[in-house]
Amino acid sequence: MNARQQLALESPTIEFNLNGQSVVGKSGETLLQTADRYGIDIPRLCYKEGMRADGNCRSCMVEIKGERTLAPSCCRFPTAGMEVSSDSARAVHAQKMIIELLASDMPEKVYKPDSELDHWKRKLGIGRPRFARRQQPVADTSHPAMAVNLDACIQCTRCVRACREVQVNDVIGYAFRGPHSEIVFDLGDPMGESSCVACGECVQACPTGALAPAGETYLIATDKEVPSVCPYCGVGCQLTYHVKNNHIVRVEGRAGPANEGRLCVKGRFGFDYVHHKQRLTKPLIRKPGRPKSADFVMDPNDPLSVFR
Amino acid sequence: MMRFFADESCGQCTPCRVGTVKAVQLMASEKWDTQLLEELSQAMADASICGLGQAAPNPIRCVVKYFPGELT
Repeated sequence: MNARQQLALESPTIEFNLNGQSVVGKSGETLLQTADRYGIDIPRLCYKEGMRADGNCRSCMVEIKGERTLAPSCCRFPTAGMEVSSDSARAVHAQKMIIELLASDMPEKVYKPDSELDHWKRKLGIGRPRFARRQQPVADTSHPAMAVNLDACIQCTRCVRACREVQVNDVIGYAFRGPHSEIVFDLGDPMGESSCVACGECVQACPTGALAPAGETYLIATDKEVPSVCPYCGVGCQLTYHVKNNHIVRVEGRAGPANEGRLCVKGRFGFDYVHHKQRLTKPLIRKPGRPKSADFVMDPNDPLSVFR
Repeated sequence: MMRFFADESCGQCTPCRVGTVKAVQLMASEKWDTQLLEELSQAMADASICGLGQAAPNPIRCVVKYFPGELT
C-alpha cells in the first residue's frame, strides 16, 4: 500500500444520498468515483481514471437537490447530506441528449470497434441520431505510427491532457472556438511534422479512435492478449501485446508500478523487430578462418556467411 | 440570434458547442421540429457549463411559447 492509499483509508468520510440510497463517500472522491464503487453506472467520455477530470463532455450529469442546473459528477465532490440522482428523468435526458449530439457528428466509418461513445450509445438505448452531421475535417496521415481522423473527434480533450499533463510534451492543443474548435499539433501542423515524440499516449487516451495506431490495427480482431514487460530500457513498463497469428498487432500500456499505463515510443510502436529477418534468435559461433578485424563488414541479412 | 450564440460559443462543453449548431440547423428548416428543439433546449439549459449555453435556447422557447402562430 502506498502513502496515497494509506491516506485515503485514514481520511474522514462523507455520508450522502445517491439515487435514493445512502452512500459513504471517501475524502477526495468525486460523485462519479463513489457511484462506481457502489456499482451505479454513470456515462462518461471526457473522464478517464488517472487523468485530471475536466468536465467538458457533460455526459455524466447528475441532478443535485436544490441546485438550478445539473452538475458533472466527474468533477463534483459530495457534501454531507447531499441528495444526488443520476437516474432522475432530468439527468437521464441530459445524458442521452449529450451522447446523441456527439453521435450525430460521427462518421459512418468505424475507427475503433465498440468505442466508448458506441458503448454508452448502446447502454442508453440511443438509436440513429436525429441531427444532421457536421462538415467533417480531412484526415491527417502524415505520421508513420498514428492516424489522425478528426471526423471521429468528440473534443473531449483527453488527448490534450494526456500530452500536456500525463506525458508533459505539450504538443497537442485545443484551438479555435465554438463549432470550429479542434485538436491541433503545435501551431496546427500536420502530426508528422510537429514536435510530437510519438509516445502514443493520446492514442491510448482517445475514446473514439480519432487518434488511432496507423494501419487501422484497431480493426484487426486479435486472438490473444499477452501481458508482458517492455523489452527496451530498465524502467520496467508493463504492457499488453495484442497478438494475431503469433504476430504483434498493437501494444497497450498496462497499469504497473513503474508506468501506470503509460509507454514511450519504443514500447508502444517499436515491436517490428520481433519478426525481423536480421534478428538473431540463437547464439552463433564464428566460422574458422573468418576475419576478426573491427572494420570487417558483414551482410546482416546473411550472418551464416560468417557464423555457424 | 442562434447563429450569434453558435458564433460566441467557446467550444468547451458539448451542449453549447454542438447544441447551438444543431439548433441553427433545426431552426433553418421550413417547419420546426418543436419536440426535438424542446428536448435540445432542455439539455442545453441543464448541462452547459456557463450562462451562454444555458441561455442560448431561450429564443427558441420564446418563439414556441409566444409566437406559435409564426411557426405554421
